[in-house]
Amino acid sequence: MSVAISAIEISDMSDDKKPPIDSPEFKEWLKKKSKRHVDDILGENHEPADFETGGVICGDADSLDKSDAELFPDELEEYTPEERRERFKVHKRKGRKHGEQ
Amino acid sequence: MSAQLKPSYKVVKEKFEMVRQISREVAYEQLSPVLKNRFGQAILRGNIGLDGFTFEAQRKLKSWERSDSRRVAWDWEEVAKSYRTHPKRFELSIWFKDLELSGASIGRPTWSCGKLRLDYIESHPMGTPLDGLVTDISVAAGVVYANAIGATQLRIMNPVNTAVRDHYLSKPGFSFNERGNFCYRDL
Repeated sequence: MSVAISAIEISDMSDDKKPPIDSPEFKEWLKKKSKRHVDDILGENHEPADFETGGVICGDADSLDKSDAELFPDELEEYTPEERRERFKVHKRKGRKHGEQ
Repeated sequence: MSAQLKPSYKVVKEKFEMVRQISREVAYEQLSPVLKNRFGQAILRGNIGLDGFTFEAQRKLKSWERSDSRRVAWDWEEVAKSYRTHPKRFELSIWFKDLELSGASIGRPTWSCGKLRLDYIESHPMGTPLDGLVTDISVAAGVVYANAIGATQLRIMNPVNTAVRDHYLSKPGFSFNERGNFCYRDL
């Protein structure tokens, strides 16, 4: 199990210093990496939100089945290969064969 | 050169369950020992619990659907079912004293895995002692999970009203994308 996890760790490591998730160092690394952001959200002088009564805070039931390409049409990196192929069709020039000017 | 075997779905699923668990632990440990709710009451961190979408959480969420106080009514069972097939999903249930479900949130990384979307956040429609804290705890837990999976941006999708949007715009590092209707923070 640990061998398999270490193997897939390689594929999604975006930070060179990130320890493998099944190592004891991972939690400490994550704490350090997140601290500044968590402090900005919930740190000293935190003011509680005054809009929570009433349930829903964010979300849209109509977005449930939408793909990232539909939600973020300007972000090409969020298109699946199929969506890219659909959007970017190769148009062949008429009357010219390969290599002709 | 040896070919790298693609991990099975089961291995990936188990790996991200572990990442979610560690992320929730880190988020919990980074909460202040005492927080203040919307009524100015002190809430001890020890009375707050963070978990995933357990059977008990889903049972409680079902009961929220009977409330007339919800701003928007969606079916949490359907939402959870739709996300179950995403092994890298983010999921969070926020508890008061292990008894009262105070908030729930679900999301997933974008296709590129570069951004984490918090797609749904809801607090108990009738309110709990954690009123005023659910959103920020959800977003803080989202930030930790985003860091854990290597995402470089957190997105709070479709804030329900301008009060939610303004709450985040008042915090350092958050911006609003009008076209996509989300608040975001680069990590």
